[in-house]
Amino acid sequence: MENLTVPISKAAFPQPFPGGLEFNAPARGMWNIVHTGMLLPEAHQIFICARGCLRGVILTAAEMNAMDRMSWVGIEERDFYDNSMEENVIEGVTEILHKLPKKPPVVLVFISCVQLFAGMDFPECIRELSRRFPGIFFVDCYMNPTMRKSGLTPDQLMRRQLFLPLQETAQLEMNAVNLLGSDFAADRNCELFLWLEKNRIICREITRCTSYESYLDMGKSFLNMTWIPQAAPAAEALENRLGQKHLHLPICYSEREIGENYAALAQALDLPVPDFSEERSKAQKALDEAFSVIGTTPVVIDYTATPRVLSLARRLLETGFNVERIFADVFIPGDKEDFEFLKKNFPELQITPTLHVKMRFANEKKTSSKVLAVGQKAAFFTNTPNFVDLVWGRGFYGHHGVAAVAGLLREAWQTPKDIKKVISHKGWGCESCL
Amino acid sequence: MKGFLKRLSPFAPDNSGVVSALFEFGGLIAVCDAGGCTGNVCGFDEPRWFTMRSAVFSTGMRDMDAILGRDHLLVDKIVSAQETVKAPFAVLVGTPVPAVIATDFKALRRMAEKRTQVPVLTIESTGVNYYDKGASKAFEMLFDTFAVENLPVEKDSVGILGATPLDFSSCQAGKFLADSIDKKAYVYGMGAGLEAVKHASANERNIAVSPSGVAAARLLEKRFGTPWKMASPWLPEELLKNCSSLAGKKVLIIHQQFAAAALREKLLAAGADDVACATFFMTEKSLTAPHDRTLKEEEDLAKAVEEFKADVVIGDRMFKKVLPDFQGGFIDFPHFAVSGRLWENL
Repeated sequence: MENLTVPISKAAFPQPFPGGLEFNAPARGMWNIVHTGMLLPEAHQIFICARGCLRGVILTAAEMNAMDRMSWVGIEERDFYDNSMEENVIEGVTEILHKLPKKPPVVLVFISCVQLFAGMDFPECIRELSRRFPGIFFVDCYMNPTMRKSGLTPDQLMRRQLFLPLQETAQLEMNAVNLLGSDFAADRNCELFLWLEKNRIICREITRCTSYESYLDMGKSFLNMTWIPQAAPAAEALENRLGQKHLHLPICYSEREIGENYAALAQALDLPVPDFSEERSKAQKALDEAFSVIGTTPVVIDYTATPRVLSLARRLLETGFNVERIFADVFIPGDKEDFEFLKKNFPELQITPTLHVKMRFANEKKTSSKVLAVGQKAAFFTNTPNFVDLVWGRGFYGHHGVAAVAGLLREAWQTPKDIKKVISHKGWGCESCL
Repeated sequence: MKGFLKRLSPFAPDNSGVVSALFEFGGLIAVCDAGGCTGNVCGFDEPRWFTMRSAVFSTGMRDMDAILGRDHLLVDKIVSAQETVKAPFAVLVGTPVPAVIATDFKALRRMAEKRTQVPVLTIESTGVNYYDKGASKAFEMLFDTFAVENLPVEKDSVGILGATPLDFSSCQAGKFLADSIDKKAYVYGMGAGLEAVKHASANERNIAVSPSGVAAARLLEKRFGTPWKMASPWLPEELLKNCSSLAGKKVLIIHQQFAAAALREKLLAAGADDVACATFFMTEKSLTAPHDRTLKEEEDLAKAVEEFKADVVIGDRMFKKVLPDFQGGFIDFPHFAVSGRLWENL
């Protein structure tokens, strides 16, 4: 691992390592498009893909005990050439819907790379299905990982399409906001939600919607907050389509940035900037307490733990933690400021890729001394049972979120976990039949 | 409608079969995809992924690679990875996108072999066929490439062809298969590695233990005259125990054909009235009995049970979903390529 690693002082931004063949570490906690699609209440997902693509998505649904919300049509080899791509989608979806015991209000129809390369007319398929089933809202969805570097990524696209059924209302509710893009229900003990509640502002999240009807209510909120950049295209589309204002308030771990987020939100809500000094102190106290327990134990963090891995590393380093290594292959534009800060103030911080071919062989040796990992990939690569099972921020936000992460750090340092068992669970927070 | 599945999960595809067959031979395996297929192969279809350090990677294909046919970039990646892995050979595994854009695998092989100076196996799996087809191609190409030297025959040595966890639903199947044979057994791909492949001509005989091993067995027979037979010499004890009281019954077994046929022999010997085999996968005519069925759609399965008037069905418990009206007995016979379940995890 050492000969792959670069100190941040010498790392290029945003991509510290050259591309090549890619290793896929067996850490399964990150969500995929199936998990995200399942967030839409009462939706039925239909995949029309090659068997190779179907296998993963269907077993994802099976693992999360959600097979009753999933159907599929397998593409055969002759379908590539016999001009039947559109027919497969229209007739396949039609047959599936006729056989369902109850018609769903919304159907997510997924196609994959092959139909796009074959030039299939997907919009016409959606139009025809809408004609055949006027009571159902059809959403065009895409499982096209080849598009990771052109236009919207599959993840961004999925998060955008998830809100396509929201409809324009005559009057937006000025006392209601949405939180878009979080896979996990936000921790409502966070000062943000307590403050919103105190000011009688409703905050809607898809993760808390229990019916399609309550999901549609999200179309009434006047403002969409996004916490992760992957959700920004969804909010931008809704701003254009429904007139809902968009405010990007990124997950972060620095007191200053958290404060700036709250100030921006207060301004958007036409409220005085809240005084969260008490929560801020509590967060720092929680970090200090964790540090008093963990001390100089090396800490390693991977990019799947949080959308803002460098921000978390910076906060921990500033508190005194011995953050030795970040596992990441690429950084996002929002990381730039933290990258420059760390480069200047903590130049020895190591950056290690996860995708590089050499990483296939990087975890062979057991760690001889205690290491505290944050994130599943970091746990896998360092072979440490002391790890924080944190996936994509886990719904933590603000000062409260910082305190929650501090608590998890301390807990992970004190209580080892079964690495294989924990990281084999597909889709953190989802049910699992395994 | 063809390809329509409502209750069964899609079975493991051919690209998973390729990786499974070649997983233990030390090659550099590059799946020609954007990451999704490799994720499925390693995340769902390869139970050894967590415990063995085989070099399986995604080529990280992007839209412009496919549209512009940037094969030289792929070869660059192979060359760069080979500098690290130093594998005795490399493998390029096809997926749906290369199938649609008609990737020239032969050209890729020539380009990659020239630059890496090691043999490169290109296996044109498409992601639309089942695992056994991919595994069959992979075993055949592996032996075609490496089993070239004609060595003296070693007495009592047996080559076992076609063993994968996808077929046998156990990561220990190699050991169980070897233990079940009273000879020196080389279970290729589950215990016996590349050196054993190079010495395959020394085998006194070969056994194809699944349909995936037949093409390689035929190749070795043609090349070295090695006699071979089809058989599945190991069936799990637990399965046999669960099937111990089927005398007088009509039984339908759903699995890969060789395993089903081996179980049929045991059941008939123990007094079963009649036993038919049904499979969604490849079949060999010589193992096919008159009542046997090849299944295509999930409706075919219910029809087979009904028409055979089975008292008992033996198969992966996932198949029960397709038989909601079946009132007879059902005995679980896990098939990893169907449900992703291993005997050791039951």
